[in-house]
Parts: sequence; C-alpha cells; structure tokens
Amino acid sequence: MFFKKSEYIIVTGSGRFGSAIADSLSLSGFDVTVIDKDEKSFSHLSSSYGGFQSVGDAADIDVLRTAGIERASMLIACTNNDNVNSLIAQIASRIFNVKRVFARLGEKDKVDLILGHNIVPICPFELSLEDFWKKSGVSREEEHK
Amino acid sequence: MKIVIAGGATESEFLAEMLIRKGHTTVLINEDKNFCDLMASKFKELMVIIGDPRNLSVLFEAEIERFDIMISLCSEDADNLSICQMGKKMLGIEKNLCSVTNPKNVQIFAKLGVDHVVSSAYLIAEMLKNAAVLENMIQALPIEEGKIVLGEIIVSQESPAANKYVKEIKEIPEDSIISCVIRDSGIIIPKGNTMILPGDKLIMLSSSKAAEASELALSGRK
Amino acid sequence: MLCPEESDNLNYIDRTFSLKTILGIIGKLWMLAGFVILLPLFTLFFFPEEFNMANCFIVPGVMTILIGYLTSLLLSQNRRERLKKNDEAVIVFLGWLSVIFAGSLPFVLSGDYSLSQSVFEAASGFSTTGLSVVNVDNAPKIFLMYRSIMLFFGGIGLILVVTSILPDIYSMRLYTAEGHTDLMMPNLANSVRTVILIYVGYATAGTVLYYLCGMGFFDSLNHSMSAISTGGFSTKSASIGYYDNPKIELVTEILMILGATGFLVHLLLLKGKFRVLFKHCEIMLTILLISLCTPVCAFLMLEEFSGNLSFAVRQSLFQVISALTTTGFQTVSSFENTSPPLMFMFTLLMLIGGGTGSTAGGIKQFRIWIMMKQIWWNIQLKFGDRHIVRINKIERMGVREIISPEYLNEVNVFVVIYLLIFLLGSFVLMLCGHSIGDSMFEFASALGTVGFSAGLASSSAPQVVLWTSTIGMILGRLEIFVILMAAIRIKSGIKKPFRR
Repeated sequence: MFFKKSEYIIVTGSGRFGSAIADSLSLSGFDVTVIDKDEKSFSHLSSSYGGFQSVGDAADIDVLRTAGIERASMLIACTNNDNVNSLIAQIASRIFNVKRVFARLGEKDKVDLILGHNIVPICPFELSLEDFWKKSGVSREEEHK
Repeated sequence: MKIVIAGGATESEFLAEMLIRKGHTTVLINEDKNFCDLMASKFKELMVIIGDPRNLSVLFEAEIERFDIMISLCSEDADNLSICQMGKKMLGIEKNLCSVTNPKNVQIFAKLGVDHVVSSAYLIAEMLKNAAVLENMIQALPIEEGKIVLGEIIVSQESPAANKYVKEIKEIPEDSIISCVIRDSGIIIPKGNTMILPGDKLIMLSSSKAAEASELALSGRK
Repeated sequence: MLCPEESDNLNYIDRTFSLKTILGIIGKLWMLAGFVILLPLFTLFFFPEEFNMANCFIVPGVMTILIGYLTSLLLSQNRRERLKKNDEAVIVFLGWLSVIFAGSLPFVLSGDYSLSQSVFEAASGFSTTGLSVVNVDNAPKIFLMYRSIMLFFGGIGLILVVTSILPDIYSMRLYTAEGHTDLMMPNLANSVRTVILIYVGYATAGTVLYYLCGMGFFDSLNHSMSAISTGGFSTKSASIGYYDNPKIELVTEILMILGATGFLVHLLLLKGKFRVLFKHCEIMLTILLISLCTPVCAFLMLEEFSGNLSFAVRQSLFQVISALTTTGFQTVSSFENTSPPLMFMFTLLMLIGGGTGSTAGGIKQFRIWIMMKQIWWNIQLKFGDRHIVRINKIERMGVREIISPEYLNEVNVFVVIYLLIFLLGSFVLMLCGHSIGDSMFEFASALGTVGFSAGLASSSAPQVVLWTSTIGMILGRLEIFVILMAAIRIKSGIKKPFRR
C-alpha cells in the first residue's frame, strides 16, 4: 500500500517515558504528536522521531484541540504528575471520547479514580515491582488492605 | 456539617474561620507547617492536619470518611480535581467544591464530577461580558455559572417601555422577566396590568442570551 | 559539537565510522540511481531507432542496482550497528557524489563526452541546475529523457525517494541531512509519499497543459518534469524561447513557481487556504521581487526588443521568474551580451533563490526575508523604547513564528558562508580568463542551481571551469552545513576508520 491510513496518537509529556513511547510509535509508522510545556524536554526525543512536537500545557483543553485530539484514536498521558495525567486522560476519554486512553500513574491509589472509564492505567512502579518479584524468585507476603 | 478544606492559604483561613463560626466541624489539610501552626493556634475548634492532601494516605489519616463537603483549594487545577474525585470515590464525601486557575476548567470539571467549580477569572469575565454589553445594567450579577443574569434597567422618557402596561410590552424576550420594579424607593412586584413609568428601576431576571435583548426592549438603549 | 574532534582530552571517543550502516544505506541510494539510469529505456518504445544507445544505460543501470543491492545487504548483517553521530551527513554527501558519478556513466559510455563533461552533466541533472554541455538539437531522445529524469529525482531528493520505498530507523536523520526541514504530517513515511504524489501530480498536469498548448508529447513530458523540478533542461537548444508561445510561457511560469514553493506550502495551496498562503512570508517576497524586477528588466531590455513594450514585459516576466525560481529556462537567446545592470539583477535573483523545502536553490527566500527583517528589528532595538518587550516574529505558514537569536545566528552564518563560496568560485572563473560580471553570473547560476549560462560552462569549456561549476552545483544542492559536517566527520574518522 502506498499510503497507510495511519492512526493518530497524542502523547502528552516528553519525559523519558513519553519520548520513548513517541519514538517507537513514530518508527512503527503512526502519526504522532508530542505535547510538553517545556521546549527543552523535546531533546529526549531521538533524532529518528518523525512526528510533530507541540509546546503547551496538555491539561488545557484548547492545547489538546489544537493538537487535533478530535481525530486522535489514542492518547497517552505520561507527564510526571499523576494528577495531571488523570485530568488529561479524563478530558480525552469523557469529553472527546478518544477510543483508547492510557494514563501513567505513579501511585496505584490514583487508579481507582479513572476506573469505570475506558482509561487504561500504566503503573511503572508496580510493573517494576512485579519484575523484581519475578526475577528475584523471592516469595513475598501480600500487603493486606 | 462536617467539612474538609484541602490546600490553599489565605482563602482557606477565611473559609475555615467562617465555617467554625457557623458551628461546622472543619478539618484543614495543608502542607505548609507555618500555616498549619498559625491556624491551629488561632482556631482551637479547627482540626489541622499537616500533610500533602494529594496523597490518598494523608486523606485517610485525616479520618474524613463520609464528611459532607470537600473543598479543594490547591494551586494546581489537576490536583484539585484529583482530591475532589478521591473524596467522592474513596472517602464517601458526596459534595465537593474546588477553585481553578484556568477558567476553561470550570465547565470541564463540572462534567467530570465536581459539584461547584470557582474561578475568579471566569466570574470577572462573566461580569465584564454582561457589563460591557449592557450599559444601563449598572449591576449585573451572574448566577448559576453565568446562565442566568440578574440586572437593573433604568427606564427613561424615551424608553419603549415608558408609560406602558407590562402586558403591553411585546418586546420582552422569552427568557426574560421583570422580577420587580423599584419606584421612589418603594418596591412593586409587577403584574400584567402594572404600568411602567419613566424613572422606574426594573430588576430583570434573564438568561444570558436574552439579557441584551431585554435591555434593548425596555430601555431602548444597547 | 564539531571542534571537539580535534581536542586531545576527548581521545577516548571512538570515532570509527559505522561503516556497515553507512555503506548499506548508500547501497540503497545506488539502487535508486540504477533505477533512474534504466528508466529512460522506455523511450525506446517511441524511438526504436535509438536502440544502439540502450547499452549506455543498461550496463551502468544494472550494474549499479546489483552493486547497490549487494552493498545494502550489509545492513541486515547480524545486528545492525548504530549509525554514529553525524554519519548521516557522510551518507548524504558520499551518496550524492557516488550517484552523480554513476549517473555520468551513460554519457561516458556514449563516447561523445569526456569524463569531466559527463560528471558535469550528471551533477547538473541531479542538482537541478540545468547547465549543459549537451548539444540538445542533435542528441538522442533517450539522453534528453534521462536528463529530465535526473532533474525530477534530484529535485525531489534522492534520500526522500528512497525513504518512501525503503524507510528505516535512520530515515528521519537522513531526511534532515538532505536539507528537508519540516514534515507535512506527523508521519515520515506518509509525508514523503505525499510529497512525491504532489510532484508527480504537478508534472502530469504540466505535461497535459503543454500538450494542449501544442507541444509534442515528448517535449511536453520533458519540459514539465524540468519545470517542476526547477531544473531547466530543455529538449530545444533555444529552450522555451524556441516556441515563442505566450501560453507555453505561462504554463512554464506556473510550474516554475510551484516548483520553487516549499513542500509544506503546497499543503496550504491544496487545502485551499489561500488567505494564509498569501500572508506567508516567502509568497509575499516572491510576489514583491517579481513585481519589482519585471518592470526594471523590461525597461533595460527595451532596446533589444526595439521598443516593443509588451514583448519586453512578457520576456522579462519569464526570465525574472526563471531566475528567481532557479529554474533556468530561457526565452532570450543567450546571456552572453547582456548589459551589466541586467546581469547584476539576474545574479542577485539567482543568489536569492526559491522557497525553503522546495526543489529550488539559492540562499532561499525565508533566509533573505529574515535578514531583511533583521535590519528592521535592529533599528527598532536601537531607536525604539527599550522597555517595550518585543518578540521578533515572522509570518510563516499562517503562524506568527518566533525567531530565536540562535536561529537568527544560524541564518546569518549560512548567508555569510554562501556568499564566501560565491566569491571564491567566481574568483576561480575569473582566473580562467573571464570577466567579473560573467564569472559571478555563471557561478551564481551554478551555486544557485539555476542554469543560466553566459557561455562559460559549455561543451567547449576547459576542465577547470567544468569542475568549478560542478563543485558549485553540488554545494548548492546539498546544505552547506551538511557538507561541512560530512567533511569534518570524514576527517576525524579517517584517522582510525576501521575497528580493529
């Protein structure tokens, strides 16, 4: 196919996590826009990044509109602030009905806030913990809530 | 009632004082040690918790489960949203209220489950909108997030409404009503056969859309 | 970034080339080159009498594809080694040089051209200059077609074409190294494919329009590809002047302007956003320059055309557009005896050039606009109220973009280097015995990849002139900074090119 009709993905937050995701999505052939408040953060993007970069506060609905959230099929909220990610994810999911929304949450507690909407939480610390338990083979006691 | 105030500074102090005076159980959660010390010494009925209200564990420690109202006044809008939502979902606090700095978030947060969202910029904007549009409305007060406007119109000799019965004034738009007429410092609640005289001050209750039209209809001025 | 290569305490840095990756990607470029060389063979369907020329193309074409393919296999060997910093500049530089060399083979094999002449012609083709040593009236059609094909691919960009067919993880770096700036869409593969589609579309439309104006099909196709790539090769030695047809000139003018418009601006045009389009700084500058220079040129040329004002205006408009868009089509027979003021004006237009991100050459209008605005900003700064906060902005693509001091600096340095090269190249031509005016005109034409000739670079030109022009054309087509980067990188890598 000469033209692959591509999915449009918005990544909010160009930290190490956000830019890594943006890079690999762009290389995989998706249309990607990265939004970050600080222009300097875009230096985290690799030189192979083929998408757009937008400077602005992704928690501001107008910034999201300018970035084209209305035609986005996926949004990944991965700033370094859980609450901001939660807000952005909710705006994307509940106001713009973006089909797939991902939110990076450092604190597992915040996961409950986004339950019930089509937001998928990504908890890096939990994942790292799981990885540790798996690789160390140490048996563990579950913390009872 | 049992009310918790999270974050903020001067505003929180003001609110806390008001609530305590009214006899409500008030809990203040704040990160700033100096502020907490000050508040604790000023108001002995106030329960002051030092900690970051953005942390769910701090909220749990504050033992505010099933309180009546959560007021979140942190400087970051996103934090306020999270605190209000945590209050509702995990602590059973049914009603919440927060302040926002970005006026665009007033309507967004309302959609996301915050009962009352306050933005000073938003309020001022609404006031300016109505004030700019309506010269004769000396005081225009936006209610219900600007959807309803309460305003004053002064009727002069040349106004279309002058010397007419209320029921005769066809130009009053649909979403508008003369709620009361002030004449010579007396108050008249108008009926269909009340005559509007020059010099009357009309208190109009209209939707924000109809406000301009009603002013035009009654005072003749834009 | 660049100079630390020299400093001693950074000796621990491994500066060997990522050789396999570099060669592998150059291999892909060679495959494209081979394809470009084989493409003209389709003309044999129409002109079967030229069959004896086929070997000039088949042999180098097939060979280049084979060698290119085998070299590109280096890329998939084991785990691909990482492309080191600045190596992409090396790829672009060496890639273009080798493609030009391969592209010269058909001319060499024909026996009619010396090596210098062949390399000159190939460089002129791929760099979309349009200077020629070929006697077009007697040349075989297959060679004429080949020249136009070189223009078309060179104008779009070799890396750009390769990226659309065989993208890889370094495509973005290579894309930038070849001098393309922004992307049309947030997706590299789709962006480059869109660019190609747009140009193929314009070339097709141009061919149809020319044909409707009375040009034969072969000539229509060639001129269309030549115009849109702002190349300037013609199938007639008198160039567009041969036809003496205002309609043909109009079609050419439109194609030239389209070709000299940046890829991104085309997006505005095709989306119908005309108001934004006309506020774009490059469009404004183009209109300004054409409006200013055409009357001046017409006035200066009035004598030549014995007072025929409308004819003079028509010629002037065409030549001014041809110069500014760095195409190089001519309606005047020759620039050899042009009056000095006219030559000066054309030289200036050729130096200014077309829009950024287009097939045109020159300093590029965006930079010129910034430089002119800079003067105004400086005046404001010096004489204006110091306390007022001013942010320097440029109207670009509908956005009032901020120009940072760093960017301003880059632009200034670029212009200085460009002009230095211009002066140096002109000087060399002067050393070959030509006048100042002719030398500057000719070198501006080569450096700006225009193609106007005052007679210096012709089939009878000595090697020095040809090679100077060739170097100018290559420097003009590839970004100067990229060539510098490549040169420095090669120098540092040569000390220890192979990992032991």
